[in-house]
Amino acid sequence: MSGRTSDYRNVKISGDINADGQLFDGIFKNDAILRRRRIRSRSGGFECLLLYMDGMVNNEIINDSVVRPLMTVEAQVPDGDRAQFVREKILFSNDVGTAATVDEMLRAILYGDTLLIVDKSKTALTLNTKGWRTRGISEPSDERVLQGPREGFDEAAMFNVAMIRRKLLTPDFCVEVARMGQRTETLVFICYLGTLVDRRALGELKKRMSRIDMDGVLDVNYIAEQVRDNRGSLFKTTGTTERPDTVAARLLEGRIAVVVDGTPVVLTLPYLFSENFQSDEDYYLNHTVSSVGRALRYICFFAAVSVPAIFVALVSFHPQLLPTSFAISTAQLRGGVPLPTVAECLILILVFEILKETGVRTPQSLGHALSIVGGLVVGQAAVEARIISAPMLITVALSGISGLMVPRLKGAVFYIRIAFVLAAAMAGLYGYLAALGIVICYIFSLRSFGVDCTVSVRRFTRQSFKDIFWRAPWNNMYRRPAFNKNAFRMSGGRRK
Amino acid sequence: MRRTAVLMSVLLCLLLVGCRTTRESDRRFTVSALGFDVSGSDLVVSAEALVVNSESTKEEITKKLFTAQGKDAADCIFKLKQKIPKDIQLAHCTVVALGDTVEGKALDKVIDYCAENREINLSTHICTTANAQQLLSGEAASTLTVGYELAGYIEHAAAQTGVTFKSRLYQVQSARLAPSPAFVLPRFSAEEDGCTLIGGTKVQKNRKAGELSLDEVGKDAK
Repeated sequence: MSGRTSDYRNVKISGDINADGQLFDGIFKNDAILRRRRIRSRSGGFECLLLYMDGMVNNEIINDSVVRPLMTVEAQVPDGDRAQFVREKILFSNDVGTAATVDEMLRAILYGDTLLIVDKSKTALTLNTKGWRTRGISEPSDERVLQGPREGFDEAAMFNVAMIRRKLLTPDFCVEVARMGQRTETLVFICYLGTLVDRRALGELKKRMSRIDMDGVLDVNYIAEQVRDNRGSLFKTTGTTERPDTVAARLLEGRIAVVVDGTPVVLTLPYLFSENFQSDEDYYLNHTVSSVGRALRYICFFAAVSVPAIFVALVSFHPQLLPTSFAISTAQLRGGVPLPTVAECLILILVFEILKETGVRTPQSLGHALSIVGGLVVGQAAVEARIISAPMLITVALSGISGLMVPRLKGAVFYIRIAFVLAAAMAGLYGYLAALGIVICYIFSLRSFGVDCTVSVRRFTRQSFKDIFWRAPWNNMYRRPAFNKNAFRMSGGRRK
Repeated sequence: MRRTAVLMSVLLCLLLVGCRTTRESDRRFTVSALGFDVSGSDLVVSAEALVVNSESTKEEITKKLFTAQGKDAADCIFKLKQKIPKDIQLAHCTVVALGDTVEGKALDKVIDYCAENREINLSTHICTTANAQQLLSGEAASTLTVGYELAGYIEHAAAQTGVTFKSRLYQVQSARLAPSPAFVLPRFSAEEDGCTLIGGTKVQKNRKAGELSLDEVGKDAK
């Protein structure tokens, strides 16, 4: 026995509740929270064994819908299938299933259902009595909006799927279920809109998911990392969100959502590069306002990766390109600094990353103190002590703050920034431009489930640009993203 | 294999760009003005440079005048570079002052050198004075260096009095290439309390053809 549920795939119950009780006692011999109760029917015609996990079930449902009817209803038990009789004539529960093999029964118990074994019956009943506590609906802290829906997913996948469904009141909404993880048997739901989904991408996703072989799936990233294209890439090729409205919007564009039990993060795919610069709020605010924010995000991404490299190149290699007064003041402020410009820049970038990471991990109550000590005290003291120069501090700070505007690219920004600085330190602006060219070519080579991540830019049509560099008015966005061949036109809006 | 080849070729390109030497900005002398005088058969170059003390923790910047003597402008600059402890950076040189002794072939060679030197900006002003070394060794009233003050005088004269000199290096070079080469360069005098723009020097066929007052320069320009 490997300890997996699938070990019991071919094992069946005997129909003798004493033997079956011992079977489950043996399986859960080291599990103290398994509860079992033996019930004799009021008429005394049959005996039942109730098995469930304490803390995962709703006791009221068990008492009212299972125990009470079993103990109060008087009925003559027929000679045939007793379990079927109990299901149809006695139980009050709305969701009662049957399980023929022990692995099905185990899955039900472990997922918060109650197992009812009826004496002399070869099948058991599974009753939906799930009642574990969840965190509840709250606004995701990383995806806050000033205006718009404020609900976010929690850790219960079934509720998360329900939240998506509540926004898509259409029978076209399809949900497929799979179990992943040899030991965790985590429920994974694949959601899409049947008539809009890119079937090729859906097939590819299922194929890649079927290849996953691991003990446990505890978060969506366990799957994302194994199904994504360009696995070693710094850029995301699968999207994630904690907001049901975002998932619904992506499904309406013909994408696929993967909901994993135990995490509030939902995977969406295919993922376009332009999504890194999109915010949910873009669609809830006036398009003129949100377009400014969108454009700023592109500018900030460029600034975040390029400003330190350009500064290093100009100061170290091409001072003739600097205005005279700026060149002189830079030289003046660098006087006494022991480190070369490039080393100063790299160290400051690392320090900024350390401060950023510390800020994320530190309790909120210490956050302000940390930012004052880290940002102001250490920064100012380092400049005054001539360990670093003020222009470099300003440059790296500008780059760091700009990087915060595009949180979905935060990992990539760090690496690209370092690479650009090294390239600029090697060969000045030529090195920087060569590195920039390589990164642009690389971005254009990214693919996500058979779709070019930059497909909208490649199309180079007015319509394909309408949700990339700015957010066009709703009535102008009448086509779905260019990748989806099945979903050419959106409903409503002006059509040409 | 293809990726490696692409990366190798990019690295090779980077190594071939000729942009390999780097100098920290505080380890360079920024030349604000160059002056040329003739001494016997040699040329004397004076370079007014801004000096940052790279070891000091104070934000101090001073000016220094370095001189060198050579056969021609290129030789002068070469010897100047040998004499001083740090690199010199001519990209921010705003003025090239020519002493009255720089005439004929010497003038020709100095302007040609400045035009051909990639470090010297084509928008650098060319001016004349009695003695370039004396002019640059004086004190500036409004800026740290005489060089930037001279450029300020020329630009201020154009903005306030309408006296516009076509004294930038590219303008001078273009006038020299005309069928009848003649141009007017701003003329400065070195005084105890600083320098003053006193008028212009008319240059015809590489010879100084006369001195003009500021009013005459204005009329000449019209």
